[in-house]
Order: sequence, then C-alpha cells, then structure tokens
Amino acid sequence: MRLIIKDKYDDVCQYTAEYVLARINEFNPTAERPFVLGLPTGSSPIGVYKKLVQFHREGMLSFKHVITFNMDEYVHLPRDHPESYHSFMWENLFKHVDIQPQNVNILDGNAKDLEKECTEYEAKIAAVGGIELFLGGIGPDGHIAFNEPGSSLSSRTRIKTLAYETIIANSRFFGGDVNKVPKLALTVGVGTVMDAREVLVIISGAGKALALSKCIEDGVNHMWTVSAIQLHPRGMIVCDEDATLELHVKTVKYFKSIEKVHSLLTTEGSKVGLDGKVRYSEAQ
Amino acid sequence: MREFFHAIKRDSVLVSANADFKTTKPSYGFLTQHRLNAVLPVLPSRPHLLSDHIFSNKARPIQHPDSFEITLEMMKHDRASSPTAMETDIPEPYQKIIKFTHCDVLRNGKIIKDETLWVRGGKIVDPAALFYGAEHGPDEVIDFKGKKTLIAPGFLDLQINGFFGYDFADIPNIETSLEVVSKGLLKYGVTSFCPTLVSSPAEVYHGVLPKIAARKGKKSGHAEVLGAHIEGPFLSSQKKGAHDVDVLRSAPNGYADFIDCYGPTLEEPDSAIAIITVAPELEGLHACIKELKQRSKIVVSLGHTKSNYKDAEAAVAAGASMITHLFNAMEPFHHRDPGPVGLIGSSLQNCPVDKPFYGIITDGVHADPSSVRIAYVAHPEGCVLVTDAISAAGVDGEIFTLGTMTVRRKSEVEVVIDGTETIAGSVVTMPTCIKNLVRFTGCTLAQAINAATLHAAKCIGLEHRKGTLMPGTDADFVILDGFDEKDPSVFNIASVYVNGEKVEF
Repeated sequence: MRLIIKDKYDDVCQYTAEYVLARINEFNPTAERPFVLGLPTGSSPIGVYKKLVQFHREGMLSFKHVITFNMDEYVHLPRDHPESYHSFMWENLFKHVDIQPQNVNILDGNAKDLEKECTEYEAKIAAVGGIELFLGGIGPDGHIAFNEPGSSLSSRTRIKTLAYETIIANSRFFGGDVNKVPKLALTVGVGTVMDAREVLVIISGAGKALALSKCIEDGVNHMWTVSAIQLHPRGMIVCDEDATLELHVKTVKYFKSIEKVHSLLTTEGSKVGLDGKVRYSEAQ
Repeated sequence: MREFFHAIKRDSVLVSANADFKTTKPSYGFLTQHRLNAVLPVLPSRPHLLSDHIFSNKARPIQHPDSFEITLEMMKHDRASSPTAMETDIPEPYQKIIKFTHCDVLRNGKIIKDETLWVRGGKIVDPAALFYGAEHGPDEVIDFKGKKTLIAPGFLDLQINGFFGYDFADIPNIETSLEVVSKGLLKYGVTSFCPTLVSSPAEVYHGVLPKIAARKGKKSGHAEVLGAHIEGPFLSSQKKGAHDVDVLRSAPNGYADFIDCYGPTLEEPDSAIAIITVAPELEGLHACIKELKQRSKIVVSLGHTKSNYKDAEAAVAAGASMITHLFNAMEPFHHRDPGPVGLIGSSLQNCPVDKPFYGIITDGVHADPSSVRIAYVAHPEGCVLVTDAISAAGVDGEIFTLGTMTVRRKSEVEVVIDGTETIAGSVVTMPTCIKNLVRFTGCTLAQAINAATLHAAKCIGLEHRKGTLMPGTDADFVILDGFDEKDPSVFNIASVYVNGEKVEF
C-alpha cells in the first residue's frame, strides 16, 4: 500500500486528479475497451472533481469511454433532491464533462426491488469487467462508502441502515431536521471496493486523523472498514498533513521516504510505471 | 436477461470477475447454492481483464453447462426495455435536445455562472433528469466558449397598445395587428405580451375579446399573446390621460356592470383578459374587484385614478395586486396622503399581497429617473417594466392613432395627444427600458432583466410557465452578449428563441 502525504487539501486533490488523468490516458480507453472508474461522493472528492473538470476543459481528459460506478445512494430520496448522490454527481462532475449517460451507473434508491437493484449492480460491474480504479473517501469513523463500523469486510452491494451518528451528521444537509434524513442507503460493499484492480482513498483534515492511523497502523478491523485496504494488492491513500496528526512520526517519515524514491523512479522514460511496477519495453 | 436476474437468489455470491487472475482461478459469475449460474462476459479486447496468458494461449473461459454469457449489448438492451426506463420520456415524434453551454444563465432571478441550459420540445428541461432518465445526451450543442454570454428569459410586456404603426384599438384589423406585432416584438427580445386596449364602449370589447381569445397562446415564430390588458373604461375622468372621456363609466350596479361591459369572457377559465386597470374610487368598484377575484384569475390593477391612499389600500384588500404605470395618471405622492404611490412603501396585512406589483415606464419621460429610483428602492421585487408603447413605436412618421385619439410624435421619446401636451403612451422598446432601469437606479443588469421577466410573470401568476428558465417552463429566452465592463447597462440581443425555436430575423 502506498501512502502519499501532501501539504494541504488542494495538493491532495491536484495529485489525485493528476493520477486519475494519467491512469485514464495511459489506459487509452476506447468504446470496446472502456476505463471503468469507481466514484465517491461527499466533501473529500469535490476538489478532485473540480480538477478533473478543468482537465477536461483544457482538452487533456475525455470521459467518452469511461464507465463510472458510484459507491452509494440514499433510499427513497427523490432522484432530483439536491442532496441525492445523483444530484451531487450531476452538479460536480457529469454536467461538465463529455461522459455518456449510458456509461453512468448509480444505485437507484427508489427501485421497486432494492435487493435486486443491488444484485444487478454487482452484475453490471462484473459485466464490464470489473472496476479498474476505485476512488474513495472516508468518514471520521473510517467508513468507506456506507460501510459503517462493523460492516463485513467481504460485504457486497446491499441495503444498509445508517448509523445514528451519520444521520445526525447528515442532518445539516436537510435543514437540520433529523427526520428528513434518509435512514437507509444502498451501498457497494467493502468487498466490492476491494475487488477493484486499484483503490485510491483520499483522507483530508484533522477530523480524519484517527481513522487514518487506525487504517494503516493497526490491523485489518471491521470497526474501521477502510483498513481492508491493507489487503489490497494495489491500494493507495492520498492524505494531507492534517490527517497525519495521529500517526507515528516514524510512519510518516517512512512513507515519505518511500515516495521520494518512487518519484525519482517514475520520471518520464524511467523503467517504473505509475503503478510502481517495472515496465518492460517492447524489445524485451 | 431479466429472467437471469430473477434467478439470482438472495444467497447468491458473486464470484469476483476482476480478481488477480494470475494467482486465482478465472472464475467469474454467480454462484447460487454452490452452482455456477452464469459466466459473465469477458471482452476479448480487454486482455488484462483476465490475465494475459489466458488469451495468449487462446484458451476460452471454462463454460459451465448451465451458464450463459452476458454481453454488454444485452445489458444495454435490458435497460432500454425495462419498464423503469423512461420510454415515456422519448415522445413521438422524436424531439431533439439542444444544450447551450459555457454561458451564464439567469435562472429564477439569479445569474448562475458557467451554466448549461437544456431545451427540448419547446420547454426547458432538467438536464439531470434527461441524463439519468432518457440516458441520452444532447443532439445539438451550442457552445459559447470564450465569449461572455448570458441567457435570460424572454421579456414580457404587460402593457403595449400597439407597435410598428399598428394599434390594437383598431378593432377591425386586430388580427393583423396581433400578427404583425407578435412577430415584430421578437427582435426586441419580447417573447410574450399583453395587448392593451384603451377605454372603449362595451360593444367594442364584445367584438374584440373573442378575437384576442382566439389568438391567445403559443404560435411558432411569434411572441405569445398572454391575454388582453384592458385599461378602462372604469377610470376616473379626472385622470383620463389619453383615454376618451365619453366612454368612461362607473359601476353603480356592481359586478353586473362588469359583465355588461366586458362580456362572458370575464369568467371563462382561459379568459381573453389578463389584466384590467380600474380606478377603485369609482362607485361600485370595490365590490366589482372582490367579485371578480372570486370568480377569475384576472389581475386587477389600479390606474387612471384619483384615489387616496386609504382607498387604494382598500382596493388591494379587495384583491387588486398591481398598479398601472406608476406615477402616471394618479395622485402624486404627498407625505400626508401618498395616494396609490404609497402602496409600494406599505406593508399591508390581511391582504392577498403585502405590496402590489407596479408597472413602470422607464423611458425617462413618464417618470423622472429619480422617481424611478425611489420606487425601485422601495419595492424592487414589485418592479415590472412595461413599455406602454403605441403604434408610433418602431416606425417613423408623425401622426398616429391611439383608440379614438390622434397623437403626434413630439420628440424621439415623446408622443402627445395632438394639440395638447398630454403624454399618450410611449415609443420606447423593452431593451431600452431595461438599460434605463440600470442607469436610473444603479441596479445590476440581472435585476433589471428580472423586472422585465420574473416580476412580470409573477405579477400575472405565470411564473410556472414564463420568466424563470426553470425546468418545465416554456423555452422562450434571449441570448445576450456585447457586454461592457464599464457600463453595466450595455447588452446586445444576439438571438431570440421562442418555444425552443430560434427566431430568424
């Protein structure tokens, strides 16, 4: 697992967006061979989306052959509600870029049969060959998507009851009225996220510092679901300095030193790819 | 395909399609009760979907006897045929989707920077609904990249007596007048209007209102006729302005006089009348207003009136919700009795509205810039720009008619009743009114446009259709450019769309 430590949130977004840009362009997606991207909602990724939109405007990035899967959606919240994740994605990303509607997948919280919706979602992911890169953010309690503490680390897409804490925290988006906050959500499972060929988690701010330390310094634990990333062959966390408050100095220094070496190796023309793997030229 | 999903039981386990195939078995599909139900597709063009060596050895994935392949095509087909797909959203015949992008949009009174506007079938559509529902992108993209552009709702003119030499009071030719004016107004960005009739005898209304009713509503390539604005004949003879004093009347018999005067269209649900201007101090008028408001949605406006403040307030309590060409043909503002003008400073309670809307002509002649500023500052949300234009507008020439009067063009901006100094309507255009409101009051261009769009639509209860550019409203809008950073009043109408169609000039 890689841990990239940046000075502040802006740098985290810049780095992440540039990484996504490089990954998509390196992949060189076509209609037959689309790039499948997993996407989060929430406050952490907003900056990343802004940068991606900017790249798109500058002509550096196209979403024409990108298929997206979102992590979660509230149950029984109208699709056009400003707080729905459909609205979030539309406002922050989709309306600005050239993504094709048929390539966008978001769980339908108003589906008649919610369980079927979840099973179908997994099937859709599988049908396009799995997710190439899953972006994620986390909650202060270390939850990834709506997989709150105690969620099975092998969970799949399913209906989830929201923790009371989450409902209270989210009430700020619903006029401060706890009763208006949806109590259920559809979410991809920890297993679904970990099935992606690469997972990149953004962690920013002092509020998430404990979660970051639990995620990387302690063992894999269902009480901090994002810690499952430890078992992923290609996991990556991008965080800012504030988020490292709870980490050991040793941990921070270690990961920084690794990245230093990595950045030396991944310069253009080097033999190490973005993924840290050795590149073999055609001749070989 | 749907059967396949039905077959997936609750205890189904998805066997990962994208695990690291170098180390794990290439199993991918659903296991139900330990039986592999389906093998999910592998795109041959995606070599690293499975590990490279599977394909390099030309090996096919192991097919279970009970399995079948799901292809991307099948997934798409399933979505299109499922009942939840928005098949009803794709109407017949197919209506194309136009997306305007990289422009500012004046939506519901606020400028939204770098926004998009989506139009389909003559309506503004919610792009998110289109995106998620029809799963369909735009058929046509109009990109204003690099050029500062504002899309604003088409202007509404709630008071216009004529234009281009045509006078709506010329009853025999009303159809021609409506045709010419509704076409001609588009170049000024006016996409809907209320043809205004000066005080006339009852038989005139009986003759002309059915014709207006017939011409009401949308017509391709024309500004929409919203319904007539009838000024009079229940007006004060002392504040007659350019109205013929002989036809003015009061309503001693109450509402019966209204019916007698305007005819049955008064109570029709889709009445030919949008606004009636009355002088509330006349005998029987309060009762008429009350009765009319109970029976119809027609807006009652106060104008050509001698009424004092108390009387005007009582009229608002009875149901009046607008003042006609503020400051003109009414008692001037006096600090002990502010007259109808005082209503814009009031905060009425137990009335349908706390302050009425007010039509105002910002040609610099009908009200001094300073008066406009006072009114605007007192009640900005109630400001409704009207031109009160007459047949002399939009054409050259000196002598014109207004109802039964002969009027003379006195200067570029002023027309008077021939032989007098009484102002008889204006020759101003709506874009000039908007520019002047910015110059007179220092408001922003967006606020001035609101006075010609949003406020007007609200005033006549049409904000669900006009003046907001909200999804579901009519696709009547103007595309403005040519802004000047130093002078916020400057703009140019680059193009006009009515009913979602671009108007060719």
